[in-house]
Amino acid sequence: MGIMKGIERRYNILVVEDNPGDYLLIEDYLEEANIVRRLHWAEDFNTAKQFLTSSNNNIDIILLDLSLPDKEGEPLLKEMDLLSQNQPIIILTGYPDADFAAKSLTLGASDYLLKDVLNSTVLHKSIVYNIERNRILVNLRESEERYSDLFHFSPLPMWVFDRQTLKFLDVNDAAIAHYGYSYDEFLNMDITQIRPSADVKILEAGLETLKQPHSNLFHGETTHIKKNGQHIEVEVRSNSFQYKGKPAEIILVNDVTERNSHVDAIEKQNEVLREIAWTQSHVVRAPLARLLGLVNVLRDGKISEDQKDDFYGHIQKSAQELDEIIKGVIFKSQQIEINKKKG
Amino acid sequence: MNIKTLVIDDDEISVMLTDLMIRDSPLASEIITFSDGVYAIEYLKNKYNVDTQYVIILDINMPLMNGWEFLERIKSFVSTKNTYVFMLSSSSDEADIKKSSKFRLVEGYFMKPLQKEHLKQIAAIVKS
Repeated sequence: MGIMKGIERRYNILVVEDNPGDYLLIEDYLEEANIVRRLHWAEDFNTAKQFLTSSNNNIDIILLDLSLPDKEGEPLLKEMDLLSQNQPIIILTGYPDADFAAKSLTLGASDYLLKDVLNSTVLHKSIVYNIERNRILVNLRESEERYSDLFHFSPLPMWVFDRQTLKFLDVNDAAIAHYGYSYDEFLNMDITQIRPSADVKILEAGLETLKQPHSNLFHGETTHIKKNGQHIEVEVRSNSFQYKGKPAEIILVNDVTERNSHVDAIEKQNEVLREIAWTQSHVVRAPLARLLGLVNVLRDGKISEDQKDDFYGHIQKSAQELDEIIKGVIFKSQQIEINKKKG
Repeated sequence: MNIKTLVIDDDEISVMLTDLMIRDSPLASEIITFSDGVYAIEYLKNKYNVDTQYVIILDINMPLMNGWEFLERIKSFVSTKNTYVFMLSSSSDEADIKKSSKFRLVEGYFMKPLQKEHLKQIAAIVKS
C-alpha cells in the first residue's frame, strides 16, 4: 500500500546526484513513496546529458543536485533546462540558499527542495504536483502556439487592434504582404489609417455598437486603403477578446475587390442586354410594322396600279432599314463578348 | 356629331397607311395628320371645340414632342367627354402599355400597323 489512496501514479525519474549516500537516501524515499516506475541515476552532468539526448528515455521528471563535479549552479541548471524536453526539474541541494532558490525558479526549475529536511512525503508531493502542473502548462503553451500559428500562417490578412486606442497590436504575414506596410509600420498605426476619411465616422459608430453586450461578432463589407493608395473592397469579420489583458478585436479580412468587379461586369452586360431588348421593341418593330401595313394594303387591293410602284419602293426601303437594325443588334452582342474577354 | 380624326406620327409611311385604313371607316369624315406632337398641340389650342368629337391616333416616339408629353399638355384644356386618344406604337414594351393606361384620355393601345380590328374597337368606344 502506498501513501496515496485511489489510483497509484508511477513515474520514470532521473536523479542527477554525485554523492552516492545522498542518492541512496533519495532512492529509499522514492521507494517508500511508491511512485517509481523506473529510476535512473546519473552521477554527473555528462552522464545525464548522454542519457537525456539518447532517444526514447521517457523521463517524467528530473531531480537535480546543483553541485556536480563537472558543472554546477546556474550554468548547470541552464544546460539541464535546455536538455529537458518539457520535463519539470526539481532542484535538490544541501545548503539553504533562499536567493538562489527564488532565482532557480525563473531559470527553469519547477521546484526547490532542501536535502536537510527531505523525507518521503515532501518528495512525493513535490514530484506529483510538479509533473501534473507541468502537464497543464505544456498543454496551455501548445494551445497558445496552435492559435498563434493559426493567426500567423493564415492565408487571409488578420490583425488585432486595441479597442480603446484603435492601435494595431499584432498583424500577420498575409496582412503585411497584402497591404504593403511592414510589421513595425503597422504597429505604429491605428486602424483609421487604412480607411477612407469619409468612413471613419461610420467606423466609430460601428465600434460603439460593439461595446454593447452580445454584439461581439461583427461582419460586413467596407473599403480599405493599401500603402500604395489603392482602395480595396473587403469583407471583414471581427471578434472581441482580451489581448495581453486589453480589450481587443481580432479581424479577418477577405479582399473581394475582384469578386465585386466581376459582379459589376455582369451588371454592365445586363445593361447592354436590356438596351438590346428595348431596341428590339421600339426600333426593330417600326420598319416591321410598316412592312406589315404595306403588305396588308397591297393584299386588300385598295390602291391603283400607279401607286403600286411606290409601295414596292417603301417595302424595299423598310426591309433595308430592318436589315441595318438587325446588323446593329448583332454588333452590340459582339461587344459583350469582347468586353468579357477583356475582363 | 361632327367627328375629326387626328393622326399624329412622324413616320410618313405609317401615316399614309393609317390614313388608308381610316378612309373606309366612319372616322373618315375629316382626317388631319401631324408629323409631330408640337403641331397637333398648336391645332388643338386654336381649333378645339366642345361640339366636335376628336379621335386622336397618337404615336409615342416623335422627335420634337413625344406622345407622353403631348398628353400632359392637352389634358388641361380638352375634355374626356369628346376626346378619345388611341396610342398607336411600334413598341410592344409592357412599360409603354402600362404608362398609357395612367392617362384618363387614353382609351386604347394598339401596336402598328393599324388593323380593321382596331378600327372596330375605336368605333365601339366613340359611339357609346
